Amino acid sequence: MTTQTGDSGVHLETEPLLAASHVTAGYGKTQVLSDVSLQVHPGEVVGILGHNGAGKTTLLKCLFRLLPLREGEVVFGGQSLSRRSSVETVRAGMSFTPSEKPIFRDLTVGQNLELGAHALRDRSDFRERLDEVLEIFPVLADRQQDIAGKFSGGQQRQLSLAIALMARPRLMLLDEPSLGISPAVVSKTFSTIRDLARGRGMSVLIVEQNVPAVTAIADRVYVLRNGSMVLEETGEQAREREVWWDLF
Amino acid sequence: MDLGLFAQLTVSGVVIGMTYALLGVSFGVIYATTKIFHLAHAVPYATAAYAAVWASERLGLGLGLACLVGLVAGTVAGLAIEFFAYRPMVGRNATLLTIFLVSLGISVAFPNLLQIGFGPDNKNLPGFQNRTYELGSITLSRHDILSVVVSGFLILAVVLFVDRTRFGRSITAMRTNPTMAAAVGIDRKSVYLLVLGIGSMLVSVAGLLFTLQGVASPTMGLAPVLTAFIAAFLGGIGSLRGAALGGLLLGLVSSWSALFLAVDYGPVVVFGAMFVVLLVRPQGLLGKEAV
Repeated sequence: MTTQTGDSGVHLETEPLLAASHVTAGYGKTQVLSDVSLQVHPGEVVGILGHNGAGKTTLLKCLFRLLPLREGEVVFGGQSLSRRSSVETVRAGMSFTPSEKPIFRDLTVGQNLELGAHALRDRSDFRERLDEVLEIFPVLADRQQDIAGKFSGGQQRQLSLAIALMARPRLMLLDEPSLGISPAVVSKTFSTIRDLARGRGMSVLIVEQNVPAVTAIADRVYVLRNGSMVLEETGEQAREREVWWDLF
Repeated sequence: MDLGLFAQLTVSGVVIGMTYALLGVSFGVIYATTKIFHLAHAVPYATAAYAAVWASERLGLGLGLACLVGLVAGTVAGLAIEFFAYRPMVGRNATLLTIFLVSLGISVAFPNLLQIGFGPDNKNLPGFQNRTYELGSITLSRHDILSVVVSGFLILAVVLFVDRTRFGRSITAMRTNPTMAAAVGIDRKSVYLLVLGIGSMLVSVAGLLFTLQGVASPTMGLAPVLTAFIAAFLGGIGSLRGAALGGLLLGLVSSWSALFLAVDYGPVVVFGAMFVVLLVRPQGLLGKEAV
Protein backbone atom coordinates (compact mmCIF):
# COMPACT_ATOMS: atom_id res chain seq x y z
CA MET A 1 0.00 0.00 0.00
CA THR A 2 1.37 3.40 -0.96
CA THR A 3 0.29 6.68 0.47
CA GLN A 4 1.25 9.56 -1.71
CA THR A 5 -0.20 12.80 -2.99
CA GLY A 6 0.58 13.86 -6.53
CA ASP A 7 0.10 17.46 -7.53
CA SER A 8 -3.05 16.45 -9.33
CA GLY A 9 -4.56 15.91 -5.94
CA VAL A 10 -4.90 12.19 -6.51
CA HIS A 11 -4.44 10.57 -3.13
CA LEU A 12 -2.85 7.18 -3.75
CA GLU A 13 -4.06 5.17 -0.79
CA THR A 14 -4.76 2.29 -3.09
CA GLU A 15 -3.39 -1.05 -4.14
CA PRO A 16 -1.23 -0.56 -7.22
CA LEU A 17 -2.92 -1.31 -10.54
CA LEU A 18 0.41 -2.44 -11.94
CA ALA A 19 3.29 -3.77 -9.88
CA ALA A 20 6.49 -5.01 -11.46
CA SER A 21 8.88 -6.65 -9.01
CA HIS A 22 12.54 -7.42 -9.57
CA VAL A 23 12.19 -7.71 -13.35
CA THR A 24 15.20 -8.97 -15.26
CA ALA A 25 15.02 -9.29 -19.04
CA GLY A 26 17.00 -9.03 -22.24
CA TYR A 27 17.58 -10.26 -25.77
CA GLY A 28 19.65 -13.36 -26.44
CA LYS A 29 22.79 -13.22 -24.33
CA THR A 30 22.37 -9.50 -23.65
CA GLN A 31 20.75 -8.59 -20.36
CA VAL A 32 19.00 -5.22 -20.66
CA LEU A 33 17.02 -4.91 -17.40
CA SER A 34 18.33 -5.81 -13.95
CA ASP A 35 16.11 -6.09 -10.90
CA VAL A 36 13.66 -3.37 -11.98
CA SER A 37 10.64 -2.69 -9.80
CA LEU A 38 7.89 -0.10 -10.26
CA GLN A 39 4.28 0.58 -9.43
CA VAL A 40 1.45 2.44 -11.13
CA HIS A 41 -1.67 3.29 -9.14
CA PRO A 42 -5.21 3.83 -10.43
CA GLY A 43 -5.57 7.25 -12.07
CA GLU A 44 -1.85 7.95 -11.86
CA VAL A 45 0.40 9.30 -14.62
CA VAL A 46 3.86 7.82 -14.19
CA GLY A 47 6.88 8.75 -16.28
CA ILE A 48 9.98 6.68 -16.90
CA LEU A 49 12.89 8.81 -18.02
CA GLY A 50 16.25 7.65 -19.25
CA HIS A 51 18.87 7.95 -21.91
CA ASN A 52 18.89 6.14 -25.22
CA GLY A 53 19.44 2.44 -24.62
CA ALA A 54 18.63 2.61 -20.91
CA GLY A 55 16.07 -0.17 -21.33
CA LYS A 56 12.88 1.89 -21.30
CA THR A 57 11.24 0.25 -24.33
CA THR A 58 12.39 -3.19 -23.17
CA LEU A 59 10.68 -2.53 -19.84
CA LEU A 60 7.39 -1.62 -21.54
CA LYS A 61 7.60 -4.73 -23.71
CA CYS A 62 8.11 -6.84 -20.59
CA LEU A 63 5.15 -5.25 -18.84
CA PHE A 64 2.95 -5.83 -21.89
CA ARG A 65 4.22 -9.40 -22.26
CA LEU A 66 5.82 -8.89 -25.65
CA LEU A 67 9.11 -9.98 -24.12
CA PRO A 68 9.48 -12.81 -21.59
CA LEU A 69 10.74 -12.09 -18.11
CA ARG A 70 13.92 -13.86 -17.07
CA GLU A 71 13.24 -13.11 -13.44
CA GLY A 72 10.66 -11.20 -11.45
CA GLU A 73 6.93 -10.79 -11.69
CA VAL A 74 4.35 -8.44 -13.20
CA VAL A 75 1.02 -8.13 -11.39
CA PHE A 76 -1.81 -6.21 -13.04
CA GLY A 77 -5.15 -5.65 -11.36
CA GLY A 78 -4.21 -8.16 -8.68
CA GLN A 79 -3.40 -10.93 -11.17
CA SER A 80 0.00 -12.13 -12.26
CA LEU A 81 0.71 -11.53 -15.95
CA SER A 82 4.01 -13.36 -15.90
CA ARG A 83 2.74 -16.34 -17.86
CA ARG A 84 0.13 -14.57 -19.96
CA SER A 85 0.28 -13.55 -23.61
CA SER A 86 -0.06 -10.00 -24.91
CA VAL A 87 -3.58 -10.89 -26.10
CA GLU A 88 -4.59 -11.71 -22.53
CA THR A 89 -2.86 -8.54 -21.35
CA VAL A 90 -5.04 -6.44 -23.70
CA ARG A 91 -8.15 -8.22 -22.45
CA ALA A 92 -7.07 -7.60 -18.86
CA GLY A 93 -7.17 -3.85 -19.61
CA MET A 94 -3.69 -2.78 -20.63
CA SER A 95 -2.79 -1.04 -23.91
CA PHE A 96 0.60 -0.48 -25.51
CA THR A 97 1.45 2.21 -28.02
CA PRO A 98 4.89 1.75 -29.60
CA SER A 99 7.16 4.72 -30.30
CA GLU A 100 7.65 4.02 -33.98
CA LYS A 101 4.90 3.03 -36.41
CA PRO A 102 2.15 3.34 -33.77
CA ILE A 103 -0.59 3.00 -36.42
CA PHE A 104 -1.44 0.77 -39.38
CA ARG A 105 -0.32 3.09 -42.16
CA ASP A 106 -1.87 1.13 -45.05
CA LEU A 107 -5.33 1.00 -43.51
CA THR A 108 -7.99 3.67 -43.17
CA VAL A 109 -8.59 5.54 -39.94
CA GLY A 110 -11.82 3.58 -39.46
CA GLN A 111 -10.04 0.26 -39.95
CA ASN A 112 -7.32 1.34 -37.50
CA LEU A 113 -9.94 2.12 -34.88
CA GLU A 114 -11.71 -1.16 -35.54
CA LEU A 115 -8.44 -3.00 -34.95
CA GLY A 116 -8.11 -1.17 -31.65
CA ALA A 117 -11.10 -3.19 -30.46
CA HIS A 118 -9.90 -6.43 -32.05
CA ALA A 119 -9.19 -8.30 -28.82
CA LEU A 120 -12.60 -7.64 -27.28
CA ARG A 121 -14.78 -10.70 -26.85
CA ASP A 122 -17.96 -8.67 -26.62
CA ARG A 123 -18.16 -6.23 -29.53
CA SER A 124 -21.80 -5.25 -29.07
CA ASP A 125 -20.85 -1.78 -27.83
CA PHE A 126 -18.35 -1.10 -30.59
CA ARG A 127 -20.34 1.87 -31.96
CA GLU A 128 -20.53 3.41 -28.52
CA ARG A 129 -16.78 3.04 -28.04
CA LEU A 130 -16.14 4.55 -31.46
CA ASP A 131 -18.34 7.57 -30.74
CA GLU A 132 -16.61 8.04 -27.41
CA VAL A 133 -13.16 8.02 -29.01
CA LEU A 134 -14.21 10.31 -31.88
CA GLU A 135 -15.56 12.76 -29.32
CA ILE A 136 -12.08 12.93 -27.77
CA PHE A 137 -10.39 13.20 -31.18
CA PRO A 138 -12.92 15.00 -33.40
CA VAL A 139 -10.32 15.49 -36.13
CA LEU A 140 -10.59 11.75 -36.85
CA ALA A 141 -14.37 11.75 -37.17
CA ASP A 142 -14.53 13.19 -40.69
CA ARG A 143 -11.51 11.29 -41.91
CA GLN A 144 -12.46 7.71 -41.19
CA GLN A 145 -12.13 6.73 -44.83
CA ASP A 146 -8.68 8.33 -45.21
CA ILE A 147 -5.55 6.20 -45.35
CA ALA A 148 -3.82 6.68 -42.00
CA GLY A 149 -0.31 6.79 -43.48
CA LYS A 150 -1.10 10.11 -45.17
CA PHE A 151 -1.65 11.86 -41.82
CA SER A 152 0.87 14.27 -40.30
CA GLY A 153 3.03 13.07 -37.39
CA GLY A 154 0.77 14.76 -34.85
CA GLN A 155 -2.41 13.33 -36.35
CA GLN A 156 -0.83 9.87 -36.43
CA ARG A 157 0.00 10.26 -32.75
CA GLN A 158 -3.62 11.20 -32.01
CA LEU A 159 -4.79 8.20 -33.98
CA SER A 160 -2.41 5.95 -32.03
CA LEU A 161 -3.98 7.14 -28.76
CA ALA A 162 -7.45 6.65 -30.24
CA ILE A 163 -6.57 3.07 -31.25
CA ALA A 164 -5.46 2.35 -27.68
CA LEU A 165 -8.62 3.90 -26.24
CA MET A 166 -10.91 1.68 -28.32
CA ALA A 167 -10.18 -1.16 -25.89
CA ARG A 168 -11.05 1.12 -22.91
CA PRO A 169 -7.81 0.29 -21.10
CA ARG A 170 -7.31 0.78 -17.40
CA LEU A 171 -3.62 1.39 -18.05
CA MET A 172 -2.01 2.89 -21.15
CA LEU A 173 1.64 2.16 -21.82
CA LEU A 174 3.03 4.89 -24.08
CA ASP A 175 6.48 4.57 -25.61
CA GLU A 176 7.93 8.01 -26.42
CA PRO A 177 4.73 9.71 -27.57
CA SER A 178 6.74 12.86 -28.37
CA LEU A 179 8.80 11.10 -31.03
CA GLY A 180 8.55 12.63 -34.50
CA ILE A 181 6.17 15.48 -33.67
CA SER A 182 6.70 19.22 -33.35
CA PRO A 183 7.08 20.86 -29.88
CA ALA A 184 3.65 22.52 -30.15
CA VAL A 185 2.02 19.17 -30.91
CA VAL A 186 3.99 17.50 -28.10
CA SER A 187 2.43 19.91 -25.63
CA LYS A 188 -1.06 19.25 -27.00
CA THR A 189 -0.55 15.49 -27.02
CA PHE A 190 0.63 15.44 -23.42
CA SER A 191 -2.29 17.64 -22.37
CA THR A 192 -4.62 15.11 -23.97
CA ILE A 193 -2.87 12.28 -22.09
CA ARG A 194 -3.20 14.17 -18.81
CA ASP A 195 -6.89 14.88 -19.48
CA LEU A 196 -7.54 11.22 -20.24
CA ALA A 197 -6.03 10.23 -16.92
CA ARG A 198 -7.78 12.95 -14.92
CA GLY A 199 -11.14 12.69 -16.64
CA ARG A 200 -11.44 8.92 -16.91
CA GLY A 201 -9.46 7.73 -13.94
CA MET A 202 -7.19 5.90 -16.33
CA SER A 203 -3.57 5.18 -15.44
CA VAL A 204 -0.78 6.07 -17.83
CA LEU A 205 2.82 4.89 -17.89
CA ILE A 206 4.94 7.00 -20.25
CA VAL A 207 8.46 6.21 -21.33
CA GLU A 208 10.23 9.35 -22.58
CA GLN A 209 13.47 11.17 -23.19
CA ASN A 210 11.61 14.49 -23.28
CA VAL A 211 11.98 15.43 -19.61
CA PRO A 212 9.93 18.68 -19.54
CA ALA A 213 6.99 17.09 -21.37
CA VAL A 214 6.74 14.19 -18.92
CA THR A 215 7.40 16.08 -15.71
CA ALA A 216 4.72 18.61 -16.68
CA ILE A 217 2.00 15.99 -16.34
CA ALA A 218 3.46 13.18 -14.21
CA ASP A 219 2.33 12.33 -10.70
CA ARG A 220 5.46 10.27 -10.23
CA VAL A 221 8.70 9.78 -12.12
CA TYR A 222 11.27 7.01 -12.32
CA VAL A 223 14.70 7.28 -13.91
CA LEU A 224 16.16 4.23 -15.59
CA ARG A 225 19.90 4.09 -16.26
CA ASN A 226 21.70 1.16 -17.88
CA GLY A 227 18.80 -1.15 -17.12
CA SER A 228 18.40 -0.27 -13.43
CA MET A 229 16.08 2.13 -11.64
CA VAL A 230 18.19 4.89 -10.10
CA LEU A 231 15.50 7.31 -8.95
CA GLU A 232 11.86 7.50 -7.95
CA GLU A 233 10.29 10.79 -6.97
CA THR A 234 6.99 12.65 -7.12
CA GLY A 235 6.03 14.80 -10.06
CA GLU A 236 6.39 17.87 -7.89
CA GLN A 237 9.95 16.96 -6.93
CA ALA A 238 10.75 16.23 -10.56
CA ARG A 239 9.44 19.61 -11.69
CA GLU A 240 11.64 21.34 -9.12
CA ARG A 241 14.73 19.43 -10.15
CA GLU A 242 17.05 21.65 -12.18
CA VAL A 243 19.76 19.18 -13.14
CA TRP A 244 18.99 15.88 -14.80
CA TRP A 245 22.20 15.09 -16.61
CA ASP A 246 23.86 13.48 -13.59
CA LEU A 247 21.03 10.94 -13.53
CA PHE A 248 21.25 9.99 -17.22
CA MET B 1 1.47 -12.53 -87.45
CA ASP B 2 -1.05 -15.35 -87.49
CA LEU B 3 -3.97 -13.78 -85.58
CA GLY B 4 -5.67 -17.15 -85.06
CA LEU B 5 -2.53 -18.52 -83.44
CA PHE B 6 -2.17 -15.35 -81.36
CA ALA B 7 -5.76 -15.68 -80.12
CA GLN B 8 -5.21 -19.33 -79.24
CA LEU B 9 -1.98 -18.55 -77.38
CA THR B 10 -3.71 -15.71 -75.53
CA VAL B 11 -6.51 -17.97 -74.36
CA SER B 12 -4.01 -20.66 -73.38
CA GLY B 13 -1.97 -17.99 -71.60
CA VAL B 14 -5.00 -16.90 -69.60
CA VAL B 15 -5.75 -20.51 -68.65
CA ILE B 16 -2.16 -21.20 -67.53
CA GLY B 17 -1.93 -17.71 -66.05
CA MET B 18 -4.97 -18.19 -63.83
CA THR B 19 -3.40 -21.34 -62.38
CA TYR B 20 -0.14 -19.44 -61.88
CA ALA B 21 -2.16 -16.64 -60.27
CA LEU B 22 -3.67 -19.15 -57.85
CA LEU B 23 -0.19 -20.43 -57.03
CA GLY B 24 1.12 -16.88 -56.63
CA VAL B 25 -1.66 -15.87 -54.24
CA SER B 26 -1.24 -19.12 -52.27
CA PHE B 27 2.46 -18.40 -51.75
CA GLY B 28 2.06 -14.64 -51.36
CA VAL B 29 -0.50 -14.81 -48.57
CA ILE B 30 1.91 -16.92 -46.51
CA TYR B 31 5.18 -15.17 -47.32
CA ALA B 32 3.88 -11.61 -46.96
CA THR B 33 2.65 -12.27 -43.43
CA THR B 34 5.17 -14.71 -41.99
CA LYS B 35 8.25 -13.70 -44.09
CA ILE B 36 8.98 -17.44 -44.18
CA PHE B 37 10.25 -18.57 -47.57
CA HIS B 38 7.89 -21.52 -47.55
CA LEU B 39 9.48 -23.94 -50.03
CA ALA B 40 7.61 -26.73 -48.24
CA HIS B 41 4.55 -25.32 -50.02
CA ALA B 42 5.23 -28.22 -52.41
CA VAL B 43 4.04 -30.61 -49.69
CA PRO B 44 0.31 -29.66 -49.66
CA TYR B 45 0.34 -29.52 -53.47
CA ALA B 46 1.54 -33.12 -53.75
CA THR B 47 -0.36 -34.32 -50.67
CA ALA B 48 -3.68 -33.16 -52.16
CA ALA B 49 -2.99 -35.02 -55.39
CA TYR B 50 -1.84 -38.24 -53.74
CA ALA B 51 -4.65 -38.19 -51.16
CA ALA B 52 -7.23 -37.79 -53.93
CA VAL B 53 -5.69 -40.67 -55.88
CA TRP B 54 -5.60 -42.79 -52.71
CA ALA B 55 -9.23 -41.98 -51.88
CA SER B 56 -10.25 -42.86 -55.42
CA GLU B 57 -8.24 -46.10 -55.66
CA ARG B 58 -8.46 -47.44 -52.09
CA LEU B 59 -11.78 -46.07 -50.87
CA GLY B 60 -13.50 -46.20 -54.24
CA LEU B 61 -14.76 -42.64 -53.87
CA GLY B 62 -16.07 -40.70 -56.84
CA LEU B 63 -14.05 -37.86 -58.30
CA GLY B 64 -15.75 -35.09 -56.31
CA LEU B 65 -15.35 -36.79 -52.94
CA ALA B 66 -11.81 -37.88 -53.75
CA CYS B 67 -10.92 -34.25 -54.53
CA LEU B 68 -12.51 -33.18 -51.26
CA VAL B 69 -10.34 -35.70 -49.40
CA GLY B 70 -7.33 -34.34 -51.28
CA LEU B 71 -8.24 -30.74 -50.42
CA VAL B 72 -8.58 -31.53 -46.72
CA ALA B 73 -5.40 -33.61 -46.65
CA GLY B 74 -3.38 -30.90 -48.44
CA THR B 75 -4.64 -28.17 -46.12
CA VAL B 76 -3.93 -30.27 -43.04
CA ALA B 77 -0.42 -30.99 -44.36
CA GLY B 78 0.25 -27.25 -44.63
CA LEU B 79 -1.13 -26.60 -41.14
CA ALA B 80 1.00 -29.45 -39.77
CA ILE B 81 4.15 -27.84 -41.18
CA GLU B 82 3.27 -24.58 -39.39
CA PHE B 83 2.33 -26.32 -36.16
CA PHE B 84 5.17 -28.83 -35.87
CA ALA B 85 8.03 -27.09 -37.71
CA TYR B 86 7.67 -23.32 -38.02
CA ARG B 87 5.89 -22.51 -34.77
CA PRO B 88 8.45 -24.13 -32.45
CA MET B 89 11.27 -22.48 -34.41
CA VAL B 90 9.67 -19.01 -34.35
CA GLY B 91 9.03 -19.51 -30.63
CA ARG B 92 12.75 -20.12 -30.12
CA ASN B 93 13.64 -17.00 -32.14
CA ALA B 94 15.14 -19.00 -35.02
CA THR B 95 16.32 -16.81 -37.89
CA LEU B 96 14.36 -16.74 -41.13
CA LEU B 97 17.34 -18.37 -42.85
CA THR B 98 17.22 -21.31 -40.43
CA ILE B 99 13.49 -21.69 -40.96
CA PHE B 100 14.03 -21.54 -44.73
CA LEU B 101 16.59 -24.35 -44.48
CA VAL B 102 14.10 -26.48 -42.56
CA SER B 103 11.47 -25.70 -45.19
CA LEU B 104 13.92 -26.67 -47.91
CA GLY B 105 14.68 -29.91 -46.06
CA ILE B 106 10.98 -30.76 -45.84
CA SER B 107 10.45 -30.05 -49.54
CA VAL B 108 13.41 -32.30 -50.45
CA ALA B 109 12.52 -35.13 -48.05
CA PHE B 110 8.80 -35.24 -48.81
CA PRO B 111 9.05 -36.62 -52.38
CA ASN B 112 11.15 -39.46 -50.97
CA LEU B 113 8.46 -40.21 -48.40
CA LEU B 114 5.84 -40.25 -51.17
CA GLN B 115 8.03 -42.62 -53.16
CA ILE B 116 8.38 -44.95 -50.16
CA GLY B 117 4.65 -44.85 -49.46
CA PHE B 118 3.21 -44.93 -52.98
CA GLY B 119 6.06 -46.10 -55.19
CA PRO B 120 7.95 -44.20 -57.88
CA ASP B 121 5.31 -44.58 -60.60
CA ASN B 122 3.07 -41.77 -61.75
CA LYS B 123 -0.52 -41.94 -60.51
CA ASN B 124 -3.68 -41.11 -62.37
CA LEU B 125 -6.80 -39.63 -60.85
CA PRO B 126 -9.57 -41.25 -62.86
CA GLY B 127 -13.04 -39.97 -63.52
CA PHE B 128 -12.58 -36.57 -65.12
CA GLN B 129 -14.36 -36.43 -68.47
CA ASN B 130 -12.48 -33.86 -70.45
CA ARG B 131 -13.75 -32.63 -73.78
CA THR B 132 -12.87 -29.79 -76.08
CA TYR B 133 -14.89 -26.94 -77.54
CA GLU B 134 -14.14 -25.15 -80.80
CA LEU B 135 -14.78 -21.42 -80.84
CA GLY B 136 -13.68 -20.31 -84.29
CA SER B 137 -9.93 -20.79 -84.37
CA ILE B 138 -9.73 -21.26 -80.62
CA THR B 139 -9.83 -24.62 -78.93
CA LEU B 140 -10.80 -24.74 -75.27
CA SER B 141 -11.16 -27.77 -73.02
CA ARG B 142 -13.51 -28.39 -70.12
CA HIS B 143 -10.42 -28.57 -67.90
CA ASP B 144 -9.34 -25.12 -69.13
CA ILE B 145 -12.72 -23.63 -68.22
CA LEU B 146 -12.71 -25.37 -64.84
CA SER B 147 -9.18 -24.08 -64.09
CA VAL B 148 -10.08 -20.48 -64.93
CA VAL B 149 -13.40 -20.49 -63.06
CA VAL B 150 -12.12 -22.24 -59.92
CA SER B 151 -8.89 -20.21 -59.75
CA GLY B 152 -10.70 -16.93 -60.39
CA PHE B 153 -13.36 -17.67 -57.80
CA LEU B 154 -10.85 -18.66 -55.11
CA ILE B 155 -8.58 -15.66 -55.74
CA LEU B 156 -11.55 -13.30 -55.52
CA ALA B 157 -12.80 -15.01 -52.36
CA VAL B 158 -9.44 -14.72 -50.62
CA VAL B 159 -8.97 -11.08 -51.65
CA LEU B 160 -12.45 -10.24 -50.32
CA PHE B 161 -11.82 -12.22 -47.14
CA VAL B 162 -8.59 -10.32 -46.44
CA ASP B 163 -10.06 -6.92 -47.39
CA ARG B 164 -13.51 -7.13 -45.85
CA THR B 165 -13.49 -9.38 -42.80
CA ARG B 166 -12.20 -8.89 -39.27
CA PHE B 167 -9.98 -11.97 -39.50
CA GLY B 168 -8.71 -10.87 -42.88
CA ARG B 169 -7.82 -7.47 -41.48
CA SER B 170 -5.82 -9.15 -38.74
CA ILE B 171 -3.71 -10.70 -41.52
CA THR B 172 -3.09 -7.26 -43.04
CA ALA B 173 -2.29 -5.85 -39.60
CA MET B 174 0.23 -8.61 -38.85
CA ARG B 175 1.76 -8.25 -42.32
CA THR B 176 2.18 -4.49 -42.23
CA ASN B 177 2.98 -3.85 -38.56
CA PRO B 178 3.57 -6.91 -36.34
CA THR B 179 4.35 -4.85 -33.21
CA MET B 180 1.12 -2.85 -33.48
CA ALA B 181 -0.76 -6.03 -34.28
CA ALA B 182 0.46 -7.51 -31.00
CA ALA B 183 -0.36 -4.23 -29.25
CA VAL B 184 -4.03 -4.47 -30.24
CA GLY B 185 -4.18 -8.10 -29.18
CA ILE B 186 -3.83 -9.94 -32.47
CA ASP B 187 -2.38 -13.37 -31.79
CA ARG B 188 0.56 -14.07 -34.10
CA LYS B 189 0.18 -17.84 -33.83
CA SER B 190 -3.47 -17.72 -34.89
CA VAL B 191 -2.68 -15.47 -37.85
CA TYR B 192 0.19 -17.70 -38.99
CA LEU B 193 -2.08 -20.73 -38.77
CA LEU B 194 -4.76 -18.86 -40.71
CA VAL B 195 -2.45 -17.85 -43.58
CA LEU B 196 -0.87 -21.30 -43.75
CA GLY B 197 -4.38 -22.75 -43.88
CA ILE B 198 -5.51 -20.40 -46.67
CA GLY B 199 -2.30 -20.78 -48.68
CA SER B 200 -2.25 -24.56 -48.32
CA MET B 201 -5.90 -24.82 -49.32
CA LEU B 202 -5.25 -22.78 -52.47
CA VAL B 203 -2.14 -24.71 -53.47
CA SER B 204 -4.01 -27.98 -52.83
CA VAL B 205 -6.65 -26.89 -55.33
CA ALA B 206 -3.86 -26.11 -57.82
CA GLY B 207 -2.44 -29.59 -57.24
CA LEU B 208 -5.83 -31.19 -57.80
CA LEU B 209 -6.47 -29.16 -60.98
CA PHE B 210 -3.13 -30.30 -62.31
CA THR B 211 -3.76 -33.96 -61.47
CA LEU B 212 -7.20 -33.98 -63.12
CA GLN B 213 -5.46 -33.67 -66.45
CA GLY B 214 -1.92 -34.80 -65.63
CA VAL B 215 -0.48 -37.32 -63.22
CA ALA B 216 0.63 -37.28 -59.60
CA SER B 217 4.34 -37.86 -59.11
CA PRO B 218 6.57 -37.55 -56.03
CA THR B 219 8.36 -34.39 -57.23
CA MET B 220 5.25 -32.76 -58.70
CA GLY B 221 5.21 -29.90 -56.16
CA LEU B 222 8.67 -28.47 -56.77
CA ALA B 223 8.17 -26.65 -60.10
CA PRO B 224 4.80 -25.09 -59.11
CA VAL B 225 6.37 -23.63 -55.94
CA LEU B 226 9.02 -21.93 -58.08
CA THR B 227 6.25 -20.55 -60.28
CA ALA B 228 4.35 -19.45 -57.19
CA PHE B 229 7.19 -17.42 -55.78
CA ILE B 230 8.03 -15.87 -59.17
CA ALA B 231 4.39 -14.79 -59.53
CA ALA B 232 4.26 -13.43 -55.98
CA PHE B 233 7.50 -11.44 -56.29
CA LEU B 234 6.71 -10.27 -59.82
CA GLY B 235 3.36 -8.93 -58.70
CA GLY B 236 4.68 -7.43 -55.49
CA ILE B 237 4.98 -9.07 -52.10
CA GLY B 238 2.23 -7.91 -49.80
CA SER B 239 -0.29 -7.47 -52.59
CA LEU B 240 -2.59 -10.40 -53.27
CA ARG B 241 -3.89 -8.62 -56.37
CA GLY B 242 -0.26 -8.19 -57.42
CA ALA B 243 0.46 -11.90 -56.97
CA ALA B 244 -2.60 -12.73 -59.07
CA LEU B 245 -1.58 -10.23 -61.76
CA GLY B 246 1.99 -11.56 -61.69
CA GLY B 247 0.75 -15.10 -62.25
CA LEU B 248 -1.55 -14.07 -65.06
CA LEU B 249 1.21 -12.13 -66.82
CA LEU B 250 3.62 -15.05 -66.43
CA GLY B 251 1.10 -17.32 -68.11
CA LEU B 252 0.52 -14.90 -70.96
CA VAL B 253 4.21 -14.15 -71.52
CA SER B 254 5.20 -17.81 -71.50
CA SER B 255 2.35 -18.63 -73.88
CA TRP B 256 3.07 -15.73 -76.26
CA SER B 257 6.74 -16.66 -76.31
CA ALA B 258 5.72 -19.68 -78.38
CA LEU B 259 5.18 -17.22 -81.25
CA PHE B 260 8.92 -16.63 -81.42
CA LEU B 261 10.65 -19.40 -79.49
CA ALA B 262 10.48 -23.16 -79.11
CA VAL B 263 8.27 -24.32 -76.23
CA ASP B 264 11.38 -25.59 -74.40
CA TYR B 265 12.40 -21.99 -73.81
CA GLY B 266 9.33 -21.32 -71.64
CA PRO B 267 11.23 -21.28 -68.31
CA VAL B 268 13.83 -18.90 -69.75
CA VAL B 269 11.05 -16.50 -70.72
CA VAL B 270 9.41 -16.78 -67.30
CA PHE B 271 12.61 -16.06 -65.35
CA GLY B 272 13.57 -13.41 -67.91
CA ALA B 273 10.25 -11.63 -67.36
CA MET B 274 10.81 -11.67 -63.60
CA PHE B 275 14.35 -10.36 -64.02
CA VAL B 276 13.28 -7.45 -66.26
CA VAL B 277 10.31 -6.42 -64.10
CA LEU B 278 12.25 -6.58 -60.83
CA LEU B 279 15.12 -4.64 -62.41
CA VAL B 280 12.73 -1.79 -63.24
CA ARG B 281 10.42 -2.15 -60.20
CA PRO B 282 12.21 -3.98 -57.37
CA GLN B 283 9.02 -3.88 -55.31
CA GLY B 284 7.12 -5.78 -58.03
CA LEU B 285 4.23 -4.63 -60.20
CA LEU B 286 1.77 -3.69 -57.44
CA GLY B 287 4.08 -3.79 -54.43
CA LYS B 288 4.84 -0.73 -52.35
CA GLU B 289 8.28 0.73 -52.05
CA ALA B 290 9.99 0.07 -48.72
CA VAL B 291 9.77 3.07 -46.38
